[in-house]
Amino acid sequence: MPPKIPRARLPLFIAALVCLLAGLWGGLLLLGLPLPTLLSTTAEGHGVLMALGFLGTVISLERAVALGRPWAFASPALAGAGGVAVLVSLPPVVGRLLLCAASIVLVVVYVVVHRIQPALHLRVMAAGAVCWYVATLFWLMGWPLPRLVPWIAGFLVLTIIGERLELARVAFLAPTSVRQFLVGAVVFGVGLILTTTTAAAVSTGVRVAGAGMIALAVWGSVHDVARRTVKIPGVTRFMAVCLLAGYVWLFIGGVIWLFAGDLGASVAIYDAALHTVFLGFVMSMIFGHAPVIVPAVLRVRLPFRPWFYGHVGLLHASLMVRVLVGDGLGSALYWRVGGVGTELAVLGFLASSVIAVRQANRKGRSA
Amino acid sequence: MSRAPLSVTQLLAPGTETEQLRYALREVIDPELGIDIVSLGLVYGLEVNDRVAAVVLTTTTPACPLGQYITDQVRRVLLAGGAVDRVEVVITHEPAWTPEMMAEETKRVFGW
Repeated sequence: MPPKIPRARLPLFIAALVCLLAGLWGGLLLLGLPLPTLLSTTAEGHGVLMALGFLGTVISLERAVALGRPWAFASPALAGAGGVAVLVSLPPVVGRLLLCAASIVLVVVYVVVHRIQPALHLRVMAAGAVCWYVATLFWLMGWPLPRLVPWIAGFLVLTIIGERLELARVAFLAPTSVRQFLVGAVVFGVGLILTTTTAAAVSTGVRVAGAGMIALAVWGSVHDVARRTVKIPGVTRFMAVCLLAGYVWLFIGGVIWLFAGDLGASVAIYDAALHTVFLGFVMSMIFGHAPVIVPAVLRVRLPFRPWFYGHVGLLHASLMVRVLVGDGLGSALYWRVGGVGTELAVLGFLASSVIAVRQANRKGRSA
Repeated sequence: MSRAPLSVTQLLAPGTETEQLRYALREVIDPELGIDIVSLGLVYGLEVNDRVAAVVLTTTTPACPLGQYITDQVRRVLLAGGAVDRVEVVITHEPAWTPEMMAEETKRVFGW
């Protein structure tokens, strides 16, 4: 008998999905497409819906499943509710408070996990959760969203890179490579802190954080186990390809942060600085991990299919068009075409995943 | 290396039933690493008693959400072999998994 879908997790997953779809719609509005504004917050909340409403819910759900204690599911529940609250135009404080509370529960989850098995990679991931907390705290204090970007990036970058450090252990990490990792992570963290000190230090902080991202991207390209697992066909290679492509974008994003300093200097810089990291690095990782995370969280089979490379290829190709041609050369047309391409890639990812799950389900029933 | 489900031929082959079931667990692959859970050293214990298999597993970190997924796979593989009617799986992090627990051949795959 196939394992039962844990129904209590479904509302959390659905909330994450609602945030993702609303975030995508908001993205299309920001790209200037002639679409109706569904809710007043659809475009304004695009970044928060994607990074905290969707990814925050999914990441904290993943950790709650790992810890397996009922209270840990409060984090994805609060994050999902927070994302939906942002979307439906409740008083701003409601969504911000819920998202902030979600981050606090996530930090506690990491503390408990760390007590079970203390490890550097867990401290790095916990630092990511702290970044989420800091972002929402400043948001509650009324800081504008662009000022929160480094901290939201900190949440996602440190969470992912911490996971990669954990897996890199199988490839015999020498103490020097761990030190290199730490240098990158600390530089990145110092940059984030600098962005919050004085208005004059914001640009310096962004530059330092960018240097940290470059160091972490180089570290991942050299030491990530994906360098070896890319030789193993099937889902393992697929995941490795997504990861390695992600490091390229993290590197490019780091270079943009390093040289731009002021992320709000122009629309093009803001667009490129954010989407190289959030789409090129983070979304690529999400695409790669879906065949593992979906079965882990929902207990449904999501077998790898070679056509998964389609939405991954579309994501990276359209991001290149958006950033290199659209933002880099100042072409609004290519920026829009690339932007829509990245959205289609995310929709393709959702459709591919649903089709693969349904196929596996049908096969399982007829077997 | 053959990763066929535990067959009657295998059950008649030399080796204890526990060894044969442990071999069958090589079918359970960590998708991210592409290596089976036995070679990764994630199987801490396996006992068979009265057609009931008891398996003690770990994950590489307590932050890994794959415990339930791997448990489901272990159940599927062992029940499919037909040698046991029930599979009890316990996940523990005591002792903590370390890369040194991997099989020598697996370490070589990862460049040790």
